[in-house]
Amino acid sequence: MIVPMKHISLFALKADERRIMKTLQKNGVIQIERADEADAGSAEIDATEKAAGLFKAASEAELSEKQNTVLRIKAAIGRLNSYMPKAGMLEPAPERGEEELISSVPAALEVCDELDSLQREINSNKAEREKKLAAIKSLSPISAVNIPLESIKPTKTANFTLGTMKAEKLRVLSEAGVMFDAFGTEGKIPVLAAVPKDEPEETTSLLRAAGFTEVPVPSYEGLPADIIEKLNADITAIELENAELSERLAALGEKAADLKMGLDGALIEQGRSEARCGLFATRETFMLTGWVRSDEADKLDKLIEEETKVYCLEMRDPADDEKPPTFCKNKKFFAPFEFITNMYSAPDPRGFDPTVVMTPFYLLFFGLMMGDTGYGLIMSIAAALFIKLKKPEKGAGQVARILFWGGLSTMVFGLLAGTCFGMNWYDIFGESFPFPLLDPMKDQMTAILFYCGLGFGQIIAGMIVSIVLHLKRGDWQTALFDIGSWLMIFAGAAVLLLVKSPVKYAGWALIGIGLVLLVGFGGRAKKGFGRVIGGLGKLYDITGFLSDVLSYSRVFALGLATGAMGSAFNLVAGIARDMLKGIPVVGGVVSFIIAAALLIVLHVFCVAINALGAFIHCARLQFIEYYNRFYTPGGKLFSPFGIDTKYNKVK
Amino acid sequence: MKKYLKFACIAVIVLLTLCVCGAVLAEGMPTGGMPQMPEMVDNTPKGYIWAAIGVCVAMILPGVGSALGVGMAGRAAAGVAAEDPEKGGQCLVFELLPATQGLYGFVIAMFIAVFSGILSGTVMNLSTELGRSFFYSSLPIGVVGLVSAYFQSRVCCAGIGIVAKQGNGGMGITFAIMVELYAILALIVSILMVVGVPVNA
Repeated sequence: MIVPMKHISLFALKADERRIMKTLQKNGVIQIERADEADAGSAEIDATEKAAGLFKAASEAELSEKQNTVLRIKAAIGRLNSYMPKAGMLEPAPERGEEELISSVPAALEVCDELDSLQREINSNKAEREKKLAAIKSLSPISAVNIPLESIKPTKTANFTLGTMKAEKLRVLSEAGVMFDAFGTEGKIPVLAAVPKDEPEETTSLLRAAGFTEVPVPSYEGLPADIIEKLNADITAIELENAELSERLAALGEKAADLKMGLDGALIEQGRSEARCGLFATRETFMLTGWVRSDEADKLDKLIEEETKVYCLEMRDPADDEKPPTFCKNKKFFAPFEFITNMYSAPDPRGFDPTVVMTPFYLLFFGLMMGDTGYGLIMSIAAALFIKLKKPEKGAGQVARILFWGGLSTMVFGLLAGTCFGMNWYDIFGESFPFPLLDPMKDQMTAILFYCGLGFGQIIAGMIVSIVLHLKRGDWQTALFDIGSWLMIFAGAAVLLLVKSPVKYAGWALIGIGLVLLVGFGGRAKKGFGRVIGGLGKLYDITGFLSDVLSYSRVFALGLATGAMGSAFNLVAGIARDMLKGIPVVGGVVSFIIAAALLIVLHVFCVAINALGAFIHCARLQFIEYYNRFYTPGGKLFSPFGIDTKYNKVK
Repeated sequence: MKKYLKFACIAVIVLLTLCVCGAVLAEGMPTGGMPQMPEMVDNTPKGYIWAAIGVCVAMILPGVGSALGVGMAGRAAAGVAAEDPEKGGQCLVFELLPATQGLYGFVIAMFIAVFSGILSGTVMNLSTELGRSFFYSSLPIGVVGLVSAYFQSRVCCAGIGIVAKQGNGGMGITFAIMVELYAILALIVSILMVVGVPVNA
């Protein structure tokens, strides 16, 4: 059932605004629609324009601050993720109060600060280490120099240049009369050469010719070897410090619960700020516009009355040009199946919620497509455990419940026309076992016809729903001429097929009336010749019926594929067992263990992939073959201003 | 993407040619209308070759298609999950959709293996004609499975784009499942053909 919406406008004092918003968020009853200045209507905009602008700017600034908080905590959680204690797959989200969550934001921010400072220290240490490594690299070619670096200073007549060159080229220098000091005797050695101040070019060209590469004198004091040793010691110290810092960072992972609570608190505050941005304010009052479910209208009034006595709440039905959000309310059994409908599109707010008329067909075809009692049992148990232990909400909870009921349906239809863990029923219980009633492996054509027949039934059901909807709207012409006529033709054909007595002329009569109605009035929207063509064109719809019905043959294929896949996996496990049995002594045990492990893994995979297939293909049958006949999509789901947390459930 | 399709097409053509050539060679060269000497006629049935080729075709072609398809969709899904790990679950559904063709092929391969007697060892007595029937029955799911897995995967990649941009890819799943119909029809035809081979007649 689609719950009608009411449009609300709430006026109250700005002084009460925070308290009212808090209550509204806690109860999640309204969807706020951003109030435009134009909506303020008769309010004296000129006088209040300044106040409105100030309020808007303030709430937007607050929102961006809250968004920053959320982002910071999220980033911290992301950074510490690998150090956090792992939450169990089936652990339900902890329940906490709203106040507790909000008050834990500062603690979470403290953790963020600590994390940031640790991270900064680690990073600066890393940079320092890189710097020292680079220094070592630049010092290592001149490490053999055995004079303190600070003593290399220009004299009155000469500059000194430090560099490296090959030891055997030293002779060239000494023959040319260059003054130098070499440190070492073999290979590439450091050389300190004196360049006369008055004629530097000659010496430098000589040096270059001898393969001398200049090394800039590093600005360190002492012997290069000592400096390198000291730098290495520094690096070790830095690494130790960083290891300790990383440990402290990892220890922050213990504060996961704080961070998660803080994030949820920040999310609640962010939601509230976001909602405030949708308000319109004058100097002393504010205005809120939005939607409320008509069945919660009184509750909303009461909630606001508890907070303040000074307010004005206006409610009205949506105007014709307005599109309210859609909210569907169904009985507990049907509610999860709204998920299927919403996967396609939420119903139009003025349309019809198809969940109740879709669910039985969904379960029927889901069961037939899975078609394996054993798999149904596994699915139901797994879904029930998941619901019981994890207590999932929203999407995951709905899917789990659909799978639970789908599993039960699968158990029934596996007995009627399927298998059990891929095994044939008569292989388990002997030939005399009455099930399956219909074995798609033996009577393929019967099975396909049966499934297509069921599909035809669903299509007829869709047409009947459509007739009812059209009649409710007062559109009896479409109901009778476009849909009723087809029903008459089908009914007539059924009579002809099933009845052999003179009653069968009634069948011809029905077909005749149906055809006259269809061809005569199908093109009623047009005039003259176009009307005739239009009516005849309606006959072409028969191809649509045909292809829709044939589409149900997928039920046969998917049902058979589940059982066949299961039996193939049984075969594989059996072959593995037979092969391993040959191993002496331990053969029996090993073959049993391996075969059992194979069976479990393969069957779990089989359940998962076939449940996915059945879930989606079954949904498709509803969307294309069924909804096609009567459904008006295009709604937007009602998303109330409420508490939307990530890790904790709010009490 | 084009590169892969081309590769797959070439693989299919080469494989089918090899299969048929191999089988024809093994069955004996065509006599070209020349009367053969009675002692040269090899009367042992050659159905086992065709049945084995049938198993291979039914498994290899849709398997290649599904591997291509799941691979493409998987890369797209990983891209989205890298940005937003919470969308990974929905992307996983898209990634798995092209996986079904390979499973259909597996089902037909197992059907042929069981019905032709490859598993029970009676395949050596299978007549050439019946063996050919098994081979033909592997073709619908083989070829359609390969092609539909590839094209379904492209719809899936687009659907993963919907998830990345909108967060809810329900409609995309419906789009992708439309391509699957043809693989399912091919599976039905293949099943009917395998089951219909009169092995025990």
